[in-house]
Amino acid sequence: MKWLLVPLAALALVPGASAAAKFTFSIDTPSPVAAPGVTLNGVDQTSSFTMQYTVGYTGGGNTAGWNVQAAATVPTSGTKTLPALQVTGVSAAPCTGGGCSDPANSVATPVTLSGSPVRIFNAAVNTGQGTIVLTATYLLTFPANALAATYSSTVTVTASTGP
Amino acid sequence: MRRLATIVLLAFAIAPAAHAAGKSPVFGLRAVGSNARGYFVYPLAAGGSRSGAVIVSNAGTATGTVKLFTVDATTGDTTGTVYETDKKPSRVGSWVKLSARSLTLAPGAHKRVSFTLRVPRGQKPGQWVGGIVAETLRRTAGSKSKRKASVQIRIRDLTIVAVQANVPGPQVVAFEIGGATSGGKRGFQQVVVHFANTGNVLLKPAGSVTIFDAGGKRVETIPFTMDTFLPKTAIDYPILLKKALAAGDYSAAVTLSANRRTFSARPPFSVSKENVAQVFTSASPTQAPPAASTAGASSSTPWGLIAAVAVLAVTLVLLGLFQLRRRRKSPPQRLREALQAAPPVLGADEAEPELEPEAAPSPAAQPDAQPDAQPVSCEHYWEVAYDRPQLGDDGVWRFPHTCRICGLHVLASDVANASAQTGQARPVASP
Repeated sequence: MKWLLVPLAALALVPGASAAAKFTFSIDTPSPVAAPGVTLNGVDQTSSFTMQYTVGYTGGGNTAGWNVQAAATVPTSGTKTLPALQVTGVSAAPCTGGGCSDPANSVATPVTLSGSPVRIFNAAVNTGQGTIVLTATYLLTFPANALAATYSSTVTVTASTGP
Repeated sequence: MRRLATIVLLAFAIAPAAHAAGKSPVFGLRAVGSNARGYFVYPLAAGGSRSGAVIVSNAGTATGTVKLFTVDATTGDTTGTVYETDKKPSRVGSWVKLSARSLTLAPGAHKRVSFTLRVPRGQKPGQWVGGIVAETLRRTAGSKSKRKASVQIRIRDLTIVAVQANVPGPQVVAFEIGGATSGGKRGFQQVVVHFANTGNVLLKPAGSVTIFDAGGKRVETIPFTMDTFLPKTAIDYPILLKKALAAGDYSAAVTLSANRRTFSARPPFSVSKENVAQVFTSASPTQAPPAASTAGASSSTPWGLIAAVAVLAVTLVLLGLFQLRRRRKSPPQRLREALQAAPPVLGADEAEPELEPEAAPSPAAQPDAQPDAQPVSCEHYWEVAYDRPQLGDDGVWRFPHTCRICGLHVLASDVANASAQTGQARPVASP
């Protein structure tokens, strides 16, 4: 009978280990990203870059789904600024892990980023379980009269689970 | 020349891959005792308190430090719960007190962090939401910052578990529909409607907006479904138009339904010529106020100008050599070479030495590919017809992209998407 008590005791000692919902998020793209620049030529131009994220939504009956939101400061160099960044698309690779489910996303792109966070991707209720790798494409706009400089911006990407 | 470009591109491609394969911490949150939802929901009367705990774990491959703090939640501009991670909390975020502000965890380690939720006395009934945040403290890569780049993007990553306090009392479902304005840019015309959830419950409303012209004729109806709309929050909700509106006066008949209640309003709005120009031609330049000036500005500008002039000069020389080489070849020879060459993956404006591998097309671009297409070799320079947007079945606006050099024509959401497609597309007749 003692052999039965050992695993039971182990479960009791590890808080939350009994199939608890676990939510992890990581950004796989190194910071800072040196986004591709353009050679100014007097016409509007754009360039894009991508960021890769990994969302882990594992464990017990986690059914609430999750959101990824983003906010960004305006690209600035001293007094010079560029238009706000846009997220033009977020794609999800097929989920991995036992019993996983692909996320059902309802967020339409493009999304213009500002200091206030806005959703860029979501996994609806009962979806998005397992490990999901997302690739977000960001767009930079260089107006015709943009000034040559090295601009900088901070993008805050947040994954959350909640109502 | 092509070999050199390939080497440069490979060097850029290898660098981040190596980093990604390197060791890094990955922090996760578990809501203890909330296995079904994965976040906390506490029925709690005003003045009451509850204790809870999160388990912070490091599922990564390196020891790291995680910063823990609390935030308020609000409704995002496109609806859905978002968290005000750059503001000091004043609502639910301030009701939660954590037992630790930061943790350093080895790979595979976890630690329990307790918290107390205390609802203020006098708090009105309703469903109120905040969150517990785990922010990975990242070190920026030194080698990256030395590289020349036009825009540097610093990244913060945060993981949040919601804390919802349900203060008992009468539930009120109420919405206000405010004014409407026209907006959008880069080919995406929108009507922006102000909504406020003046009730006290979380709702996921649905509705529609019907646009009428000045003569009262219906122009279009657009249904929409919102995500979570938090109580006592208001947003300016952008609704993408399917048909472009010319300059003029309009009205937007808006209806919104939630919990078997319907709200409606018909605010007027106008589209100016400037609106149309901004949406369908170019983005207007922006200039920060002088107060935002910093010492770094003066030093960065000359180097930026010098770099730009140098890149321009090199580009012109290369373009000249390329044109000279093209003229020496007969058209059939160029065509043969084009059809034999490997498919390009980059647009012309991305083919500069500063090109980043992160600019690789996303998998989302794949559905746009034309199935009967074959590759062609051309460093594309895209002309985009922003005045001819087309809304796809997937809800994404796409524009005709035509390559000035080879005449390739594709329908794409942006230049990166167009370049992604050219890996599978063959040129159609030049316009």
